[in-house]
Amino acid sequence: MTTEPTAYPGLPIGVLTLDDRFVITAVDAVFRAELGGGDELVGQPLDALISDRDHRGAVALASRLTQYRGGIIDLSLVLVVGGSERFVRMRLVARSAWQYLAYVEPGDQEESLTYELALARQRWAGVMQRSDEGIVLVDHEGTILQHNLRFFELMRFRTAHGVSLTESALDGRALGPLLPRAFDELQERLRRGDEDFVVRVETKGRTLELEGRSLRLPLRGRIETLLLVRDLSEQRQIAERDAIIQADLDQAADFQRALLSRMRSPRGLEVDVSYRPLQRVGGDVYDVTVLADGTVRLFIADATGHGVTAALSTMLIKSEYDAVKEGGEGPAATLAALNERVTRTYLKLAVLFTASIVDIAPDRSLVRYACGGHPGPMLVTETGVVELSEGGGFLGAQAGQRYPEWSTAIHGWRSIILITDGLVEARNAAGAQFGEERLLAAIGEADRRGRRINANVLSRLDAYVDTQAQTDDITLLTVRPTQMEDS
Amino acid sequence: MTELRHRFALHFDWVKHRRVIAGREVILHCHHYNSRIQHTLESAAGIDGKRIIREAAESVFAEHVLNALEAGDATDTRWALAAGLYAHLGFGALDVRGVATGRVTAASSHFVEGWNAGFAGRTEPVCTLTEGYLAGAHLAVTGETVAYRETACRISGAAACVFERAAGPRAAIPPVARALIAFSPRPAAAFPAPAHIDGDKIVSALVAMPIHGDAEGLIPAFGVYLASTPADFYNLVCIRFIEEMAAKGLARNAQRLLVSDAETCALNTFRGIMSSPEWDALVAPMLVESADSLYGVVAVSNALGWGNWYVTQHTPGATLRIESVNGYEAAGYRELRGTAAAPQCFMLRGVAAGMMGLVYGTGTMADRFGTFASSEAACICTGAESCRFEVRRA
Ligand SMILES: [Zn+2]
Ligand SMILES: [Zn+2]
Repeated sequence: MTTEPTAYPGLPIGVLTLDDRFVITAVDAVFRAELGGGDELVGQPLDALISDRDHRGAVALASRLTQYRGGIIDLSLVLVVGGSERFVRMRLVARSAWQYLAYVEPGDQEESLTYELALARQRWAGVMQRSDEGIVLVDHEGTILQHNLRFFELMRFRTAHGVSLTESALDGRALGPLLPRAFDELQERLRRGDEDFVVRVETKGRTLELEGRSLRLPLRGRIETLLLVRDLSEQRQIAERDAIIQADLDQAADFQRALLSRMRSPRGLEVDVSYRPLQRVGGDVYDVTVLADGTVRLFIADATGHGVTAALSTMLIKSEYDAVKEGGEGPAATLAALNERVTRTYLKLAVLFTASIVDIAPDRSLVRYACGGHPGPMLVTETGVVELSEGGGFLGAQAGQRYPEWSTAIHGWRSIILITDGLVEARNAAGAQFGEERLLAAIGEADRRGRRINANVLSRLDAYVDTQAQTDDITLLTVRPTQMEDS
Repeated sequence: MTELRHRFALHFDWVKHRRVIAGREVILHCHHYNSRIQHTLESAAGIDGKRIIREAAESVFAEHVLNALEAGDATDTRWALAAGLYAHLGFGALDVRGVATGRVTAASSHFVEGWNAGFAGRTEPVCTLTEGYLAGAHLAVTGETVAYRETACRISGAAACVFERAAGPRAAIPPVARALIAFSPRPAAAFPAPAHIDGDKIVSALVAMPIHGDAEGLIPAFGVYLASTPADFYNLVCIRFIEEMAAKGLARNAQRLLVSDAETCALNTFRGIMSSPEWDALVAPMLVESADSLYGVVAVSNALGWGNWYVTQHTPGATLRIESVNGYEAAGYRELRGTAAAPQCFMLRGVAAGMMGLVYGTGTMADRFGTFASSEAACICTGAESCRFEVRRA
């Protein structure tokens, strides 16, 4: 197998040679060394290497290939090579009418520019998506470069027939002609290239505030204007509503604390709960109950969203759960019963949540558990920590749902831990998640050193996320036998 | 013209879930889909996408216009019918008074409105389908084979789109060759009905709605511009596009683009539909739980002439299995090309992913694009009794 052409000595840039139909004909040594693929790639079409999960990448490559008229195709993609997924930058050029070259560079090392770019895009997209303000970037000629959903909603651009413009029709289009007369002052400010400005516009019974900031580059001067758009009439209403909500919230926080703190450890077991709501009140809920036959039933749930709505949901979930938990059914049937009650009673409220129920048998030798979209329970034994199976759909979405149930013997067990996903999904400054591996390691470490699991996990988490703000409610519920049973 | 309108009366075939106008099955699609597939074809390198569109339109509309004509119609009446059908289908308003001197103009155009609402920055004429329509109409009305070219288009600021007849006759495009296929779709009763959404009621209401061109020959409805286009046109255009790209080793990439066009279309169109007064009046009262929006969208799509499909498994927010018993792509492929080694329903495949992204995704439509992946696990084209699409989070 030929390994020419040679790539750049010292740089991790592998080369795939392709024929005129974009089928791989050679794989160079650098590609093999950096990405792990080899002769099995020869004969495959280039697009067959793209991971099934990288749908956008596949479409981007397809559109660039079908439109290829020369030049460089430059993309980041997730490839599957040598059995594993790799994030790469790929540059593709025609070498002759019969041959193409694909230069492939790993982008999954934290120090690489491709990685940083992908991360920066993710962060920017995150900010744009979550912003309560409309955001639009325009260039010095007034052409829209990028905008978020809120901007699209606030501006309500329509054709003469009342048909809404598409978001994709905005990017690349001049902003000016889209704006009605009421926006003349804004137009003037943009044309003059004002540094920073605030303009108020009365339009169709609304008051919009538009705040402009120019973005400059050292050599090129003003290159873009960032416009923030808010609906002041809406904000006034929100402020009034907030005052009412705040009062409710104080009450709700007290109520929620009372609700969740009434927790006594069942005989022979020790229960340790750590609960960190993101705001005054949270969207997580948990419960420990001893059933009539001595079974200890653990319950944990995580309502979508945070803050007031989620907190209201948790109260509904808790009261509905209380109504079904001692109904004599197993975990899966109890989840199904809970789902029926919530979907039937609170249809319009869209109470959507994940939940898990774990039953510890009266002799403490077996657990039966069920999940609905919730992370599986973790079991610590003398051989280590394992995460048990998870599955099932969300609760509250649809009546008639069934949930998977499992059982497992727990002889010699040391702890069972239930969590909500805010724990594994917490991120550090680089945007990387705390993740399951770190969680399992922190649990294992606590167990080996005889520390309290919750405290150890949370201190590991704090060290990991460092100064990053918490973004979701976090709950850890740990149960362990008070004296280790004789095996 | 009004007295001739009865020739375009809509017949809805409840067994096949097809809309039939002037004897031809037509498909309702919006400007998003129409402009996107046109963009995909016309921007492809190394093939002549405009030619594919023009030729398909010519052969399909030659038949369609002929169907609307009756023995004894005078030439003026024939041209009026050709323009009337064009407007009725929602493509725009043709002024054919100058046709004898080789000049037709259009003061409004589905394609111009569609590109303006959906894309930015096109300056090249955009009414490619109209060029083929006029050639086909000319053949139906006069029996002559000629070509029309758009020499000015409203997309680039002209007051009207102008189509001029090229001098001299030219070789005819062969008529569409279809094989007759004996196929009976599985009955709706074979599938579970959703708990709260009355699909037949929605389809009946939509079929009764006057979805045809207005005074401008446009159909602004449900927050989009709709048009009724013969199924044969879409099938010919998509099949030929894939075949020509296959010659360059890019068949799979071409298919992927058609799927993604349909996904984008579904995201935009069904969002338009879900925020329209029509939806509020008809579907919203039936919504009980979150998954009902999805069932509602599926019910609406069953009135569009695409064929009918049914949800057979659905986990809200996660997975969807949906089976199409008579999709127009599968039926068309069987008629035009016979059986296939692999599934051929790229539009429905993309729409299935788009519907999930719309109901369960967040952010702009660009953010939602690609959040769900769809595959066609079984297809009527490969001998299955229905086409089955599997959608899951990507
Ligand atoms: Zn035009
Ligand atoms: Zn199919």
